[in-house]
Amino acid sequence: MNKKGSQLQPKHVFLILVIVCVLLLILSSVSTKINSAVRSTINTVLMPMQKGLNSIGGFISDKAENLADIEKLAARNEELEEELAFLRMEAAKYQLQENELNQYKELLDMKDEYPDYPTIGAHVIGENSTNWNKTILIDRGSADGIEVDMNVISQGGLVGIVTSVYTNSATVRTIIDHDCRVGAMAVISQDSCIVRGDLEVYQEGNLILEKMDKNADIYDDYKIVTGNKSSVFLPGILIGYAKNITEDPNSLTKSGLLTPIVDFSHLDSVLVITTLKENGQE
Amino acid sequence: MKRILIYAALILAAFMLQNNFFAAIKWIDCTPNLLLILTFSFGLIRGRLDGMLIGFVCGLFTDFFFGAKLGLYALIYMAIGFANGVIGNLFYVESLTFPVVLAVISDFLFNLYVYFTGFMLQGASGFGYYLAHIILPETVYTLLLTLLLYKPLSRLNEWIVSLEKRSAKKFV
Repeated sequence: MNKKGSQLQPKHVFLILVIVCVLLLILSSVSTKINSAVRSTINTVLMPMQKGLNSIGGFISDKAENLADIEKLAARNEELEEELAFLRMEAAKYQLQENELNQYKELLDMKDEYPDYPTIGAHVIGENSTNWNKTILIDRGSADGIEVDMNVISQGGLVGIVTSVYTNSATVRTIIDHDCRVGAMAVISQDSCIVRGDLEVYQEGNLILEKMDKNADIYDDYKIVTGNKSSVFLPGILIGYAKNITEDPNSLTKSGLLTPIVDFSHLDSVLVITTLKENGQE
Repeated sequence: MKRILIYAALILAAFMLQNNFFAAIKWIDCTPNLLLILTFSFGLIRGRLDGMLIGFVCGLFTDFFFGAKLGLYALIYMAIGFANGVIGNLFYVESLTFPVVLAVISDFLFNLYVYFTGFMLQGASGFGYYLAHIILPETVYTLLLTLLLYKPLSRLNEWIVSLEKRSAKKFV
């Protein structure tokens, strides 16, 4: 190491490395294949250790949170039990109504409008460390049949989309990432809108809901699901509820916020939908 | 050779601690930049070449895992390693204050770079928000860990030097 340093000036090494970086930047902008080959190799080697450390971190975090939250949880538990009793009643009511609805649907022959998608379960084993991006690492990869662009759900709502796949793991870009745009629509009216991640808005637990027609039938507390027109997201996956909808200054469109169903700060396990949009429509 | 192995182990450990261990501790909504601490510490202690090479490897790792494009993080980590190496050559570093100030400056510049290359050009919302919610918390976290880690790292370097001397003697 020292010998090398005396022959080759650090200045020159620096310049060479700068050039290497720039070349890599250009190469990886042109083709994404190079990244994934190298990433896959590194990932396969590091996976077991990463998994272990992640669970240790999660364990410590959980324990500390438990201690702080016991009182809060007791109160919350009571609240929830009441709610549960109420919801059970409601559910029974809806069960009846659903039966009725199914009968009508059969009559109309539209039973398979929203098919149940096949899924694979996965654990979250890592998060982006740079504080800037909201991507997560899951412990399933190409060996389990995961492919790029597969949708990821959890807790009944949309989490994000698989952006790169390695042998035994995959990266998922969550919908709260600032790079993420989801074509969405309101459940009832099917009027389209866009759900966009934003770190600032997410601080209060929300996402941005935008690009709605001024006259679109989307108002506060409307259910928002993934849209039919999105190129990668399967239609009909619940994202969240609309909030604070206001008309934009251009008086052509309106926008607002969206409260997601998924609690992104407590993501432990997720489901990957193995149907791809393009195959699903065949 | 031993030095390279120890460096590799350190980088791996820092990388995985940062991404898996610290990221999993949810009650602190921020992760410290351990790779940066490693890069700038060895830059300061050992000089330009070591700082820059460690930075390059750290950056490449980050790129491979999380970067949209390869080389973006490698470039900035490397530059920080190099710059701290230059500063380390100019000044005789004895107290802990100086490295800590450098840590803060390095982390701040690092995050500015990330903001300008990745975020500003994509029309992200105001800089003030990112400053308050991402850059400053990370800088403070990194500062605290530098206080803890700088002395042990510099002692580790002394130990490596003594190892190298011993094996050099054996050859004679």
